Amino acid sequence: MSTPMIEIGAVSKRFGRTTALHGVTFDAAAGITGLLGPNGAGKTTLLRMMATVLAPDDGRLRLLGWDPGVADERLAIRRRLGYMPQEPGFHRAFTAFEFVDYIAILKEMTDRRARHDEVRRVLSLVGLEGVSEKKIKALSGGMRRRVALAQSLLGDPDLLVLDEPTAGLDPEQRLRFREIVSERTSDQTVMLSTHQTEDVAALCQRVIVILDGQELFEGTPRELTDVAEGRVWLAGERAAAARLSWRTADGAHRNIGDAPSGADLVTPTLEDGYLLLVGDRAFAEEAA
Amino acid sequence: MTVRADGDDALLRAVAQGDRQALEALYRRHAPWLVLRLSRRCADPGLVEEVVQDTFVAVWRGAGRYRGTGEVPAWIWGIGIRRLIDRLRRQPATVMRPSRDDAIVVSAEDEVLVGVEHGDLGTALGRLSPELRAVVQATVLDGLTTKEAATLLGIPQGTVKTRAARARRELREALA
Amino acid sequence: MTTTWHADPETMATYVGGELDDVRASSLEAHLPSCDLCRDHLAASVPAAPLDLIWVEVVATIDAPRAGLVERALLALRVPDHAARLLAATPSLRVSWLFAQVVALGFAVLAANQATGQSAELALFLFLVVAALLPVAGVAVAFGPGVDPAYEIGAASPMRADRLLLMRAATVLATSVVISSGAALSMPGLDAIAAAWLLPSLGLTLATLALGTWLRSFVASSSVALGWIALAAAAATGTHDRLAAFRPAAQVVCLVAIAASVAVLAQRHTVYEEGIVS
Repeated sequence: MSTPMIEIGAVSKRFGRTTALHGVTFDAAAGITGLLGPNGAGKTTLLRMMATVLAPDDGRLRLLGWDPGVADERLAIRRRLGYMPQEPGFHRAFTAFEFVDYIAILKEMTDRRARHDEVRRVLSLVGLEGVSEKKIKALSGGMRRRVALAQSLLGDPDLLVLDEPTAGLDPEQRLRFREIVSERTSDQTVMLSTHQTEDVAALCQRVIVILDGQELFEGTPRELTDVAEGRVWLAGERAAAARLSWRTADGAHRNIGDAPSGADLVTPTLEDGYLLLVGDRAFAEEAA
Repeated sequence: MTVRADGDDALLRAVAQGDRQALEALYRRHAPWLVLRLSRRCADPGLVEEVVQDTFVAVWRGAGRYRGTGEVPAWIWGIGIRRLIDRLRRQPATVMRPSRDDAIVVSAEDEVLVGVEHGDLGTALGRLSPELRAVVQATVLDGLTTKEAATLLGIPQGTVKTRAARARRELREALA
Repeated sequence: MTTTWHADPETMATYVGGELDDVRASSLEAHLPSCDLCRDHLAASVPAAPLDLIWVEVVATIDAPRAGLVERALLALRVPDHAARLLAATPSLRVSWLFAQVVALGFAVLAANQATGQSAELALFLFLVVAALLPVAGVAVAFGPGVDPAYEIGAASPMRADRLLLMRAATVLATSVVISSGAALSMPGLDAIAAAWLLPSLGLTLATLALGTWLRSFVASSSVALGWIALAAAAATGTHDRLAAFRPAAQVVCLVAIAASVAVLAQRHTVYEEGIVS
């Protein structure tokens, strides 16, 4: 891998008696990396650390080559960071423009003219230039998410951290979002978390799978798909040997697990690979 | 005359709703003639540009207050000319451009053209001196008050009144 | 007059060039407002570049957020525009909040002016307590996840959260002092005691900020407020003087508290800048 921009080394985090992360280790280089996992897996905790707003209890964390535990280096990271939290809050009485302008001031853009030009630039990047005068409370949920995305793009950050950016968006909005993110240049680092495998398949050069605070997989989407190679087959009904099974649009059942001999094997998708990993672990937990 | 009155009205209604594209459409349609018309009343191009800018900002902010139909250009002109007068009041600049006297020799053809639009009035206007004509233009065509005309032309209000009276007399005589 | 008269291209071009005589120009100008055809022809012959520049300026002007009352007041005090925007966004600096403070003190002042004897002293006590606690309430809603909608995004931004907080707290304190001073002047019998809330309000605010380096903002401010009320009540019963908490001895205690809070803040203010409270 080329120079890693994000280095997570055996990072742990506890909240009261719950352990959110158990010694997670992975690296991410420039380009788009996806953090895939079910709800409660620890994705938000990890992303908050990458956004410098949470410190790990144990382990080593380096972002863009700096240590966020050191005040000056933390500031240097924040100057090159764009962050879209999972539940972005808004000053509801602000217009879209005013809100992004406010964040731009927090990003130390003191020159009014240049700042307003930049606000206009990011709003048109996400396709909101026509509604910049509308109050946020008058905008739809999808538009509010775009406002949140716009503010993260201020100043063209080197590190973009997006926590479940497509949650609650309809398919057309998700497609739009993917277009915006994929336009990031190749020397920027994007880390996004999602539980939608289509986002990963469409966008990411690398993917990390997380479950219950531990990483299960680190590699390319192709490699994740290959995990399910030879382990996906179609049948008329739910197979007994299948770990997971569901009905597809054309009425057949898609089964994943250890295929019985003579089964009608099909080409696996990324989702199959993911489910196999996550479903497997879930089963192992139940058995234990 | 071709009138697309509901086009302008509809655009202005959209602007009142916060539609930026509608404002731009209005701008592309009306800014050109506004610039030219204001330039004939003020020799300072920088000032004219600022006034046009202020006018369309005022259109954006005041679109909701427009209560008319088919009179949008006149409304825009009203805003524009009054902004110009406000500015001139604060900093009296070089006022009227020297009027074009050379073409006062109106050709027969032009007479016909002008005559079709304004009848004998056009010819009669052409016979007035430039100062009188300027007052008529300001008070009659631009619809300004005596005070506003005085600021625009850079002359005392009393002079505006006297010149307007003289112009009226001369026009009456010419049209009699 | 129904005609189909339109200006010919030559006249139009001469007009655009600024060379057309007055009569024909006036004629054309009277015609243009009602004729879309001629207007469009005119628009096509005017150079686009200067018009585009003007349009850019129009957009820039209408995009610039309009400043509210508080923001304009700050700008009038020569606060730089970006700082003014940040301060004006503080919930406790909104006009509604300031108004609420005036109302709260107004009641206390009214009561004091109406009351006599024993109840007069009680009214004075209430006034002093409210005046002292106003900035604490203001600081409580000036920062923290509960009240700042963009809290998490802000925490990840380069602007130092501790600096912003101190800026906001100082402004909140200043406005409260101004309002309370105004109210104090309306208290009956202008006595030095009417200003006895000043040091306590400063001390309580600093204590809230200091405690906030350990606890969440709401917990810190309510602890400080309740703790002080309890102390004031205890002092009152102990010395049989309702206003014990505001007498010179108590003022000295306030000074000590101020010094201690400043020391804590000097040491621990970076806690606010580190990240979010989880």
